[in-house]
Amino acid sequence: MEKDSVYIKKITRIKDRQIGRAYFASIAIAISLVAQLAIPKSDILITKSLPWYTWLLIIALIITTILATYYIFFGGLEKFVFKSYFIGAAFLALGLYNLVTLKFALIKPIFFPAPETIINVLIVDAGFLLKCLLHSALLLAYGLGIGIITGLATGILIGWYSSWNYWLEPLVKSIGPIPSTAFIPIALSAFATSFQAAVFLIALASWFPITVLTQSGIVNVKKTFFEVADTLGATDFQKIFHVAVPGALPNIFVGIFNGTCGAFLTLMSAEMIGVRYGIGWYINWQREIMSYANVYAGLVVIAVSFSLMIAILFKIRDYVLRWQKGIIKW
Amino acid sequence: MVATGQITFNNLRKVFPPRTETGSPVEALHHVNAEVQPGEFIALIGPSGCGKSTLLRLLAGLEHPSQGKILVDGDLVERPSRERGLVFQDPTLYPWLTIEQNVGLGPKLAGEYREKRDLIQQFIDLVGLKGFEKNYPYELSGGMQQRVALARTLINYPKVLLFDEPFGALDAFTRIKMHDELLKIRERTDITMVMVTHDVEEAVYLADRVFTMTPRPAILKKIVNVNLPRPRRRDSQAFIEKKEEILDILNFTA
Repeated sequence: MEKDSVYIKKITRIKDRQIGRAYFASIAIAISLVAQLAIPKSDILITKSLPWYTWLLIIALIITTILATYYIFFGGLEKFVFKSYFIGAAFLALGLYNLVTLKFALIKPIFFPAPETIINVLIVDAGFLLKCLLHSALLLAYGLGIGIITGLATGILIGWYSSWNYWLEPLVKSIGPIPSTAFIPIALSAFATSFQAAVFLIALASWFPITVLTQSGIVNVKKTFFEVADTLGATDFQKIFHVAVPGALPNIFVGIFNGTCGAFLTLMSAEMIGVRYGIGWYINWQREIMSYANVYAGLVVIAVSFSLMIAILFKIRDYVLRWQKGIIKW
Repeated sequence: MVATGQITFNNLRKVFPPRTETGSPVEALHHVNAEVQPGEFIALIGPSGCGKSTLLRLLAGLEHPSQGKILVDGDLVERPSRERGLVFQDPTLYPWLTIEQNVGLGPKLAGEYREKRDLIQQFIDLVGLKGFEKNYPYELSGGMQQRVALARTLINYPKVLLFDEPFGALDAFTRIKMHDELLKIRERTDITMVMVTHDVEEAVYLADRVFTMTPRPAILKKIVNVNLPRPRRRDSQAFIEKKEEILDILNFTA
């Protein structure tokens, strides 16, 4: 009797699991794989066949199938099951693109290279892409670093001291809204190297939102927080760093997020116009020599690295703002 | 040891500038003269606009009198000080600090956080929050938060403790519990306490003397001695008579 009920329990538990959803990704990838293997390459294309896309599908199929099967038998992996539809749909879309390009050549192959060609660039050109990425990362680190420090400093000064506010705020309000890319001509002539010019532009792009949000954050800290600090014996300086800045942190993080996005934009523009090396420069250069597969590969590198940076930024924010109630809504 | 926390209000007047250009200045406090003895518990009571909160803020040093002066142990009150602790209706705990850090903020600002670790723990224990040291304020109920606010002030050993409707936002049961806890804390210290309240029962239950205040003009109308033995019973005849006496003065006769 008891054995039966345990057995039934197990069966129902397995039944409760979303088998269809779990395997959706694998099935979609399998369909893409069948299409890739069964349909011959278009006759128009003269490039030699590359195995990368097929390999990608096979690896993805193996991984998703293992995950889905593990889930069915042992549970867990809710995140994967939740994302399964999306993963499947993404591979279907990629498969469709593969059909349109590699298999039937419905759109211009020179502007729209097949997935396998793009992956090929990522593999063959990996070393050079990495070099470009590191160069961009260095620019970004300098620019964003300076932008964050100066932005915080300016924001604190104009948010806390009315005299600083009187003199600096008009400057912030007039220079800030100008897209920093508009300063490219000036920056290129004002600085000795294009690297310095780019650092300046990126710093400028991130400085403004960080300044404005630091200021508004400080101004909006509850007045009673300062009054309590007064009765606890805080000096003016202590009130800045023990009350105003921590109270403004949620806003400051919005500023840093906006500033980082602005920095990405400026980095790409700066690299496409004046700076030698860097991932933006790579894309522009490859476009000029009509290697669109390389352009797409560059875009993939940007997408992965930038979203990784944003993800890290969010993790830092979640840790620093762990005192906030509930989830932050942006 | 000489008892401290003696307060003198000397011809105190506070006028706020007009809100609009055509408006007239608002007199928030009209010539208050009074004395508070060391260790006394004073309740300031009256309808809104009677200047009770203004009086408290002046005493805290958060506002400056337009005329007259306040002396605490003979020293002129000019600015906020850790000798005059303040507890608001809203606990105003710093949400980014843990309970321990909130209570320890005073020592930290004075640069003696490390030396006073044990003291911080003592005060957390005193207000019954042992085990919540590492929690953040949002994880605590309103009553618990208010206790943290109390501990944060007490740790500075103020001469005077000021309350601005401290239990106004709490439910009736928590409020009654907090009253008794406050009186228990008071037995162990000899801090002078001044509490703004709009709750007559609260005033009679806690205070040694009740300052009744009325608006237009905002004056200290009468000082009522609550010479009832402690612990006080809220349902005793004498208690109810005291309440009625105060309501009478405030013109709320039924």
